[in-house]
Amino acid sequence: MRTMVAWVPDWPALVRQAEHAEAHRGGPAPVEALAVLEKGVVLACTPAARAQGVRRGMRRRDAQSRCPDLVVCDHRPEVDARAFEQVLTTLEELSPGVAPLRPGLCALNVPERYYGGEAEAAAVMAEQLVALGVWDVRFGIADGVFVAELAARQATAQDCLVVAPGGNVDFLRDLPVEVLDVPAPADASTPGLDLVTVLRRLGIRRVGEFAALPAPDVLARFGAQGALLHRWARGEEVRRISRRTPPPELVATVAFEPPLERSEAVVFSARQSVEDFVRGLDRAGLVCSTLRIEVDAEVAGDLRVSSRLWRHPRWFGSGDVLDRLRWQLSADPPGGPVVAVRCVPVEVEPLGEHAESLFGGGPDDQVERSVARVQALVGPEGVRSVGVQGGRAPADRRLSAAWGERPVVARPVDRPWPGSVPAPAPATVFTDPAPAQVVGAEGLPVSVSGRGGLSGRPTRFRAAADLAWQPVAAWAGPWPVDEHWWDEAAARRVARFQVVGVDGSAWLMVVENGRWWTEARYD
Amino acid sequence: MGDDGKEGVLVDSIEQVFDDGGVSSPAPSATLVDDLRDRIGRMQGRPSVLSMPTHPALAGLISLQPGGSYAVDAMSLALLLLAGPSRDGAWCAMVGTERVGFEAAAALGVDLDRMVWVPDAGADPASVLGALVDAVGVVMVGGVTLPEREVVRLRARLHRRQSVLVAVGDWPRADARLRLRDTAWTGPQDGHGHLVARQATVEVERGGRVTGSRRLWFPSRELHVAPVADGMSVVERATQRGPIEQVAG
Repeated sequence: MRTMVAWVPDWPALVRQAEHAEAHRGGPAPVEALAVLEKGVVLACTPAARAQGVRRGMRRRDAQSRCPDLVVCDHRPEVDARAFEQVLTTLEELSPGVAPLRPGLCALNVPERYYGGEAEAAAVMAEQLVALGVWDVRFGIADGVFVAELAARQATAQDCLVVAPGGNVDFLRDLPVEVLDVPAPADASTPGLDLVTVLRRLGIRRVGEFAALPAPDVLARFGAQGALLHRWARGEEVRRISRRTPPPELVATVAFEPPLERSEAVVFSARQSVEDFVRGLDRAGLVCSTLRIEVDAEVAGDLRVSSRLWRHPRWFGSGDVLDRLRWQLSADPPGGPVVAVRCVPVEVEPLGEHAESLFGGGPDDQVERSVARVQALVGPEGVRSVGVQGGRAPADRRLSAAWGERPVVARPVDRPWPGSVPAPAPATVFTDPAPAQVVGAEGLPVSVSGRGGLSGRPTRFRAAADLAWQPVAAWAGPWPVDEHWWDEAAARRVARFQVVGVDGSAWLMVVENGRWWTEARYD
Repeated sequence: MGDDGKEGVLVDSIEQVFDDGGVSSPAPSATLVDDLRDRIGRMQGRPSVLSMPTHPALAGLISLQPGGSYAVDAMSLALLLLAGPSRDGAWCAMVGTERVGFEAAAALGVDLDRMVWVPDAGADPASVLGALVDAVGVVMVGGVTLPEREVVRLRARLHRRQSVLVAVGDWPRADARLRLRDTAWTGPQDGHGHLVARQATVEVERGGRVTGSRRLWFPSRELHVAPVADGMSVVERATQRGPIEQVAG
């Protein structure tokens, strides 16, 4: 899916600079060089500070020695989130479906039709944001948020970098492997996936080199999450196993009794449930890339629900979810004590890809998309992939599974199936055998004895109730089959016949307990 | 054929393209029609896809034109039409054909890995067909009746997406209808043996007239599908009731 990411570099620094300008209105010249620090190191700085040598990750003393008039502030993500609200509202007026990734970064659908092109849409948005006072905004457009974000980071100010559809692999090839950084796992007991460090030690520095590794080896060494990143690096679209909404038991709900007033308390109390939520997804083999956080608050005796969609360029870890909750509470204050918080996974991606091994490579996107549309019409079970398996009856030899699911081969096709009907295979296979009638010369039904002897030669037959009687031109059989004789409930003693009518039609019939059924037609 | 005759052929085939009712003049050979259609298509700026690949046994008898719809009266014939594009790598879909035998399909050369099967088209078959036409090369449909309006819309969609519809049973406004006639099986004899090989005549009807037919081994003893070589086989003499037209393959 084409996705646009809008990135405002150094958003925390810009917010604090604006705050300063507001506080010292009419005073001395506005602050130019400013840096926001988190845990004693520079997190963001203004262009003026950067021009004097301040860099991200620098310690306070080093930064101040490079730039003596540097104003330093502490990082307050709540303030950033609240200020970013303005940007989101502006973009939302131009295109629906804006989802923040974090303050300073948001993803949206590309409204290319309306503006006459992807780059044109980005230009209109840049114009609006500049009018708002955000000078440095960069856009990236690509298939999927992951690459779009990386593209935005390579764009110049007020410009847009478009990665052509299907061009993800070329774009990623020369990027350093550091772009594949993933969130820490929710469960502390599982070892962290330090993909980047390990790849560096292995001498793999570019995404292209990582993509060239064999997929089974990546899966064995880095697990399912590493394999998912590997598929992204190879530009393989992740198959949505099904478009069904994630099961409701994956939704995490935290109720507060009594209701909590302060947002810090809400975030702290939700920690355990959020960790369980991410762990639950992991157990289901899923990662969540779009999340809806709903906050129920009590406002003047009424329940007020505020909800917001959050996206993640890769997928949400538990810390990410808590950050989003904190930002949401500060950007959109609940207005009263919080009663409950819900985390609803909106888009999940499977970590494993099951269907690929059996049915060859994944189908192209277009087929996948239209299958999803058909699934919406006839239900997820109504669209199926097909195959052949072993068995005696023609209907048993058909194999099918709901689209995208791994078909269970009950009977391998390469075993001998004594009693099965030799090739050619019938083109029409009755899912439910149709009642048939076969009579001998005297007009009596033909029956088969326990030893396979016939009561008479078949002379006339009727293949189905709605077909006419006709003389038998040729017939072959019986092929007696004693299926499941070891299991009384499933045991079947049947005999099969091939019957050709004088009109040239050929049928596969089965007789069981003196009754005839049509199983297939050689038409 | 003189100049006037050629002129007539050209006009007629244009009529056949734009008017589905067909023409009443002598039918031009299939290759000439294909050739002219391609020229018209190129003049209209359509992609110059001549036709989809067909199974070798049907080569020269029928070619699947992108955007066309074809009605057949036997499941195996429908699968044979699917086999050509499917061998060539096209995706196929089967809609409403609950009774199709996958083994027979695979034996004819249909690639089951590139197959979408919708056994029951549900309450809105037109939308299901429309969605599949957008993505796959050939859609096979059976047991589905659409109102005239939907058939016309589906035709337009087929044209736009350059896909082909193969209907088992009747289909309104089909470009061509294929029938299996005079089928004769060999193999079973009074309880002994089993079905081994079949001969059948594939008859192509365009615009209400039979434009071609061919006697096929369908399948042969080696389970291939191939035209029957000249001269009547023993089987035919044994089972034929009445003369059949012999067409050079």
